[in-house]
Amino acid sequence: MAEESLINLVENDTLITLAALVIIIPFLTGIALLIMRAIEIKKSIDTDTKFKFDENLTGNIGVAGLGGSVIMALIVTIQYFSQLNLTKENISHPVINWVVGDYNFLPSGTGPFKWGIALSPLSVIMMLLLSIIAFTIHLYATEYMHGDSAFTRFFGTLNFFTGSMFGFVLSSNLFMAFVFWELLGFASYLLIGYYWPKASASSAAKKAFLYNKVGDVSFMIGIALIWSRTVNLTNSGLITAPTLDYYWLKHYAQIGIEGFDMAFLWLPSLLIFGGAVGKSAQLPLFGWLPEAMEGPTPVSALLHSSTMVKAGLFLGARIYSLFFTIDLTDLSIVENSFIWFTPNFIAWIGTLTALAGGLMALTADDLKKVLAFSTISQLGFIGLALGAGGLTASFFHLISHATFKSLLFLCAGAIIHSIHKPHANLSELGGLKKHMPHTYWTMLIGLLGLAGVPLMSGFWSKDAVLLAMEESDIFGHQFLLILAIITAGITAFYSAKLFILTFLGEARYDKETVHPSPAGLKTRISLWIIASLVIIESLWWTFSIGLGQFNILGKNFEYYLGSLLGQHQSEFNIVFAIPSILAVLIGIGLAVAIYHYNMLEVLQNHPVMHKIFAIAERRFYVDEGIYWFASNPVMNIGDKFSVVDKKFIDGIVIDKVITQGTLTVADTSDKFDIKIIDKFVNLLGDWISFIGKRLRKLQTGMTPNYALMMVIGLGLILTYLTISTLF
Amino acid sequence: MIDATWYLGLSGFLFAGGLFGVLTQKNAMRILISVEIMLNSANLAMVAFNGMFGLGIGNLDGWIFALIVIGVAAAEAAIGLAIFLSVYRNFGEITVSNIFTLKEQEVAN
Repeated sequence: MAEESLINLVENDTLITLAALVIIIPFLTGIALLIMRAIEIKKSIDTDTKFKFDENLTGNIGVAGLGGSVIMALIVTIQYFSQLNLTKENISHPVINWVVGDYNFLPSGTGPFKWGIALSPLSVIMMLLLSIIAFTIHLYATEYMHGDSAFTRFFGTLNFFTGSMFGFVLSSNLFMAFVFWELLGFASYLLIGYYWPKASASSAAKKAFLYNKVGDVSFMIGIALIWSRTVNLTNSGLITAPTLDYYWLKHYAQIGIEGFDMAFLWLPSLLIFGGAVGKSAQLPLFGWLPEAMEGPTPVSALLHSSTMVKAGLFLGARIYSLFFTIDLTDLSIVENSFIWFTPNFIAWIGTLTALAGGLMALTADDLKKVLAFSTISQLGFIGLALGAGGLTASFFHLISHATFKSLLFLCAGAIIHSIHKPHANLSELGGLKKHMPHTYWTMLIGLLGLAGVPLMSGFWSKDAVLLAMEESDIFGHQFLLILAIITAGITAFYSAKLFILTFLGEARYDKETVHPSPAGLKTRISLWIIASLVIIESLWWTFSIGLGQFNILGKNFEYYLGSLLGQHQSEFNIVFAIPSILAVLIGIGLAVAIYHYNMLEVLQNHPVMHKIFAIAERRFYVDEGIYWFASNPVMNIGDKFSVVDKKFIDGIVIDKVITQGTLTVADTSDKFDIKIIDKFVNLLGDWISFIGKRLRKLQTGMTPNYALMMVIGLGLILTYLTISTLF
Repeated sequence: MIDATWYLGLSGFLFAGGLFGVLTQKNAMRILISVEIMLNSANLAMVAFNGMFGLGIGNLDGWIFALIVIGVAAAEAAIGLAIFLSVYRNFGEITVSNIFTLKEQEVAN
């Protein structure tokens, strides 16, 4: 399945400039807003009142930053696709142009450390999706965050966050990607800890940052390995220059250079994927994602749909060619899939993450946490498709997940906003249908997508993922396929549960204090923008993949996407889809039976179910394991080292050697200074003053004496001259 | 023709006399006169040397130098007299041994 289309390097300065603007505009507005926030704080301190810029002003700046990005992204996308020159003839195996522009900010010869933009179909589509979703979320946030005391800071950081993601998506090399990757982590830290006076928020921010750091270290080592290997290959003359560029790495991996094949690449690509494990909340580093719900809901929506958590898997798709290499020199390696360790690893991690996320979503009570766990589960799906060799399928699912998940979070935000509570627990909701009809309908659309109900967007993409797993030669792929189908059923189950417990039935909240209000205008607009995206996706893919209508260049959507990404897989067929459809229907049916009609109470109260629920509620003890690892072995080692530090380094080296030594040297030099140098200088001065005092006596003031002196002096000179002439 | 050594001897005698006058006399006027005597003894010596060593007819270096010294002496006398006048006005006398304001003043240190 490792077929790859040809790629071609193209220069186009206009396109690169426009793409650079996509990154720069949100950064500029973000920084401007943060400066305005600093002014606000300063004025508040100076005047001892709460000073705040007009929310219309700051909100509009924030939205305008993203608006600029959307416009630029649209122009770039249109221009990029128009220059691809795809026709009906070459659509099956097109030559894909990569528009790359690099800026070396270091002197030449330092190689890969440069800013650069690479426009490939992957990055262009991601950029467009990201810009539209982020714009809508910004629009939504102006209403959601209304009246917040740090409104300006929120928009500044949110713009900064989105700008970092643009930078990551469009970067042309691993170095720049890593820089923006870290900016992304930092911005997410700021946003998750937005309500930092709350202890839970600040600890959630720390947790997210530290969990991500674990992955970042692995990512960095992976980059370093690739870099050192390309340096070696350059020295032995196999390639022209050491590089970290995606284009060249892909190129070298494709043409199969000795020393740059799977035998070497499995480790760096695995380490780079380790970064994705942290960022994309795969097993075992998923613990930070549910905690990240402490941030405001627009942040969750952005974080879960198209920025933070997608960055990891996007990176996986970027370096896809590094762990699926065609080794032309040794065809037996291609045949023998057993050494493909990295893809196997990714696929297994992805499947287990999907299953674990699904089970945890079943048991969570907090509305946003259910969605968070479902994100983990869906990210697992994307990861498993990537590992199974389905680049197209994984990107397909990434697109559909980004849209419906952002919609779901916006709906959740609308609900939280409407009931005026920091958390919306499923056990305290219910009957919201009549209070908020717009949210009801949009959330229905989003949940149908998430559940993968036939003909919805999630159905088509999930089917592609399952198909990729079916076709792959991953170790135990049949078993993983069954797990994935079970997860699909679980997904449908908790989607339906969420919907029923939120909107249907009797209201379970305290009717005296809580009065749900319908969503505001801007909220409704943004909800419907993304809901319409989901509908468009569903309709388009239904007609294109299912019915063969509205095709692009005579091919259905999935095939077209496959042509762009350089990897095709077999097309949808209804027979294969039957198990997953059944799983989805059973899941929904069970949920309706249990939660709407209160049937099957026996099953709910069965001790085995309780046990499973308890384990899933504790998140399979993964977090506990990490905490145990962090607190026991690591702290033990730390204690040992602190003894060395205190006793040896502080006690002997610092106290005895360095301190005492310095004091001794200082004392000695002080004594030398006082006794020798000062004394000598004083002695000289004393002499001179002594001589001067004696000489003063000569100054009588009487002219004849001076004259006498002159004569005596003259006489002496003459005497000297006479004597020296004589001898 | 009188031998040049006689002139030099006269010059030396005059110089010694002038010097004696400068060192012993207390009245500034007398000192000035003594200085003039010394200058003129030098003039005499130079003219004598011109006679002794001046080669060729037109060589008048010694003479010219003597003339310059006479000019300088005239100017010096004028300045000296002016200084004496002003000293007299300030101190009421021109006895040099009584005037020692050039002496370093006592400084508190």
